[in-house]
Amino acid sequence: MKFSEGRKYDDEKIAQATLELRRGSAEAFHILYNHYNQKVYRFCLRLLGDKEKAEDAFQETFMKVFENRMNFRGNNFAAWLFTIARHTCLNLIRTAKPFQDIETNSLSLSYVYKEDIGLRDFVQRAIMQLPISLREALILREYEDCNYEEIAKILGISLSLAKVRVHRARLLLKKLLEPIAKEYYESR
Amino acid sequence: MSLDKYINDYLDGNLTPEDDKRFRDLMSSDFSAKEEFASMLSIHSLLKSDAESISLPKELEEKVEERVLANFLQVVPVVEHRRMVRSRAIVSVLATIFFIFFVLNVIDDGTVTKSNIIFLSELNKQEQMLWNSYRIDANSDHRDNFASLPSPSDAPRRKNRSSTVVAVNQQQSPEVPQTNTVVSAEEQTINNTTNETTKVVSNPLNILSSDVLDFDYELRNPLPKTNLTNELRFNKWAVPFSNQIALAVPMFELQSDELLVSAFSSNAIVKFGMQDVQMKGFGSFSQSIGYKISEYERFGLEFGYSEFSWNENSVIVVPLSTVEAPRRTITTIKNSDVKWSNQILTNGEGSAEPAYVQFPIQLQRERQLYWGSLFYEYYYPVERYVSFAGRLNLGATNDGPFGAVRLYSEIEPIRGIALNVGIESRTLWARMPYYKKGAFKSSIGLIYGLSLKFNFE
Repeated sequence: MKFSEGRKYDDEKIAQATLELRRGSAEAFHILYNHYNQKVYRFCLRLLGDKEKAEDAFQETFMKVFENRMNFRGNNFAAWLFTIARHTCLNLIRTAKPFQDIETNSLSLSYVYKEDIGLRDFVQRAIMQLPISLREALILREYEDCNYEEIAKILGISLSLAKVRVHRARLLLKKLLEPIAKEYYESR
Repeated sequence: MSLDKYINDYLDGNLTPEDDKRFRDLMSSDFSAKEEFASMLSIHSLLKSDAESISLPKELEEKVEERVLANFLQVVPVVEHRRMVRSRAIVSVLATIFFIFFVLNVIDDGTVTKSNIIFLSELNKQEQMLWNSYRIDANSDHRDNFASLPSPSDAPRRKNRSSTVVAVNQQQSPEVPQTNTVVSAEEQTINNTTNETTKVVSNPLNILSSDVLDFDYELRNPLPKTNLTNELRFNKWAVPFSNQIALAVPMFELQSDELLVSAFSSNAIVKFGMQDVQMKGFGSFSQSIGYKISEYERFGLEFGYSEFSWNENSVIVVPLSTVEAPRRTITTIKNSDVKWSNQILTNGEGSAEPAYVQFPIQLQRERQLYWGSLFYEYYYPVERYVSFAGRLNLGATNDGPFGAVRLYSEIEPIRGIALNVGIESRTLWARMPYYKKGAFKSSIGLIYGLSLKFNFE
């Protein structure tokens, strides 16, 4: 089965597809899926820090979009989509075995870096050191370019709290990544 | 404002022109602040670089879309439009019209429609006989009543029919004496009667007494003082009633005093002649109107429909592009779309980018057959409120012949309302879309229903 390459659509097209999705149009789903699948996968991957879990969360997110398409109200489909993705990821985190979390969190960054893992893995592990509340705010801001209103809406928090969380996450991440980032950019 | 706040606002693009100037001044004057900013900027760039490096695996992208779209197909409209409500409505309306037609004709004691006028001469004759054949007790105290006894021409309460009757009479029997003459003849006869117990008081049409007896118009009681005509008709309405039945069902002279209206549903358990498809269901719904023709027998009409549903494997083609491909939504699949979807369409020979994707799907198809039949039913009461019945239906569907045998119990917890449960075997000739030629299809299944009884005794 072949699919056409993922296309990016203009805002008008997305708005139209959002309306038609509620009426049960598979074509509308195709448009929205092509437009947002990359972002949702990235969000899941960085929030969960595990490729397999991210794939599960990604699939579950779009299944939920289909199942709940009639419940979508409003015009911000992206915020609704990321809210679903976030809840899906949080459920997966909650159901994960505790010892796995301990093992992951106990890895020190310096130790990991000495193992000569790739930069992406290093960034991933640094992000995983952040508390979930800061991690999700940072990913939405830095990876998905969401504005603070959207972040507040997706996380269900106030605008000021969203700003605070992103700011704290940046500071924490700076402490974790500073030596690596410096070395990385000096080497380039 | 702290350095962190400046850096944060800078990264978010939220610095005002004034703050931007202050921030730039700070960077040029404070080396440590500049290093701090460079460090944060490198982290920011690292994250952006990481974000760009992440790509959704192609296999996962295809798999998830396929699964979700398959759910769209399963959930939305692949099942054909069900016509159950419409079918039941049609059958119910037919039965209701039939019921109203019969009941009004039977119960209404005054209205005879124009279509029944051909029977009026016979009816008129019987009425005239009725009026000419009553017997009275000469010794009773009701002699005075006969002085004011209305004549046949103006007495009946059924004005429409009476006027017609008179018209027919006058045409057929111009020698009939006038009303006044009749009355005076009656008076005279009564006055001349002394010790006789019963006597025919007048016979203006000169009908033989044997004819009169054939119709059994004997008055058992003395004539009442008031409403004589009505009482007379009411007690002896069997003959007009049977004539009314004869109007509607001219084949049978029904002496019915009970009308049975029933509704049945059935679900097939064992099916025959359907092995060629994945048959899912074979149900039916019917309504019948039956007339009691003897102590244990009923006869009537039954309308209904039988519904077949089966699974059909097919392939549906979904357009993936709204630009190149014709605009079709898969949420409105109809028969024509299903046929269309059996072939795979692409964007052209050798096109690098197919505009369609195909999904194997299973359609649930349905078809309704309407049928009408005459039925004969024999029923046997075993208890006061319980009886067993066997019914034989013979009729036709819109495809061909139809027959059914039904055995069921009739439980009457409330007088006039009965619950029915039983089994039924039916055979009908049907042409299915998957079957080019027609074939007999049979089933044995459970039936259940409700009956309403109307007694006219």
